[in-house]
Amino acid sequence: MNNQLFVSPEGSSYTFVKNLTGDFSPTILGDFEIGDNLNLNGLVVTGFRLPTENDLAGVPGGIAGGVLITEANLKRMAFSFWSDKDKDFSHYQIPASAFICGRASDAKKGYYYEVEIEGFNLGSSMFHVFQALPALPAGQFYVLQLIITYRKK
Amino acid sequence: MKVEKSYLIEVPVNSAPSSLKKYQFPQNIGPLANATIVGIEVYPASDIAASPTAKTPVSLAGCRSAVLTMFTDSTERLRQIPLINLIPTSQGGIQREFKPFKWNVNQSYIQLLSAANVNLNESFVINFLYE
Repeated sequence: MNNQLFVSPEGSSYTFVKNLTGDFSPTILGDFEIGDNLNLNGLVVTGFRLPTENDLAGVPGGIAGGVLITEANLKRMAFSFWSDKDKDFSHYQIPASAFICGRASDAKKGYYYEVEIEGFNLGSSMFHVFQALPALPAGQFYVLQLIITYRKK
Repeated sequence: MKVEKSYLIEVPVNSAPSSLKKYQFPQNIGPLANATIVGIEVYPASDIAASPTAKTPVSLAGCRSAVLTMFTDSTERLRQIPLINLIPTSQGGIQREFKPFKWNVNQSYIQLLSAANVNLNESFVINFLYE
């Protein structure tokens, strides 16, 4: 089932927050390596969720200048997830909309995208911008929150 | 469905849409060429704003004009599935899952039932779930 909101079917979850500034700015088209280390050796990633303005009134951690990426903006992006086990992308260019939790107008609120990835490597994973996001006023930047659920092997 | 691998491709509307027109899958499809297919997700323009090559995705209404046929070797495996049935956001979040099968990309195609709401140079955006 894909309709469990904020519930991991098994195991634990990790919330990854990234400030999309400078070379990572999604106001330009391109492929961006996430580049952050997250050690999930010995674990199996089981799912992803992307909260939006429909889920959160603000930015995680209250980051000054941060603007949470909206549902509309996520529809301009995709993710590729790297597996050290496969030595390749196990998932290539999944549209980010697949991971949106709450939607503004959709009977399918509470989307949960289940995967099974061994050797998940967030640092070598990427996000892709297929359509540039609107530029933000000076001092503001986009913030992406990705919830990763995982379990032991 | 626990998806182990997936790969996004686009099928371009590279000639003028008309009733019963067929559009073939591209040749450059990475690991999908020899993959065993276990599921398919279609993403209309309401779910993805642009294709990987910056084309306009076919709209939800346009997807209602199209069906998918897939072959194993020279045998039809999936015959004229409405694309709308493969769009999770139109199916209550359900991913369409299949008993694993090898596909013949050269014979598989998307066919228009009518040209309504499908435009030249748009793309069908499809995520294949595979083993």
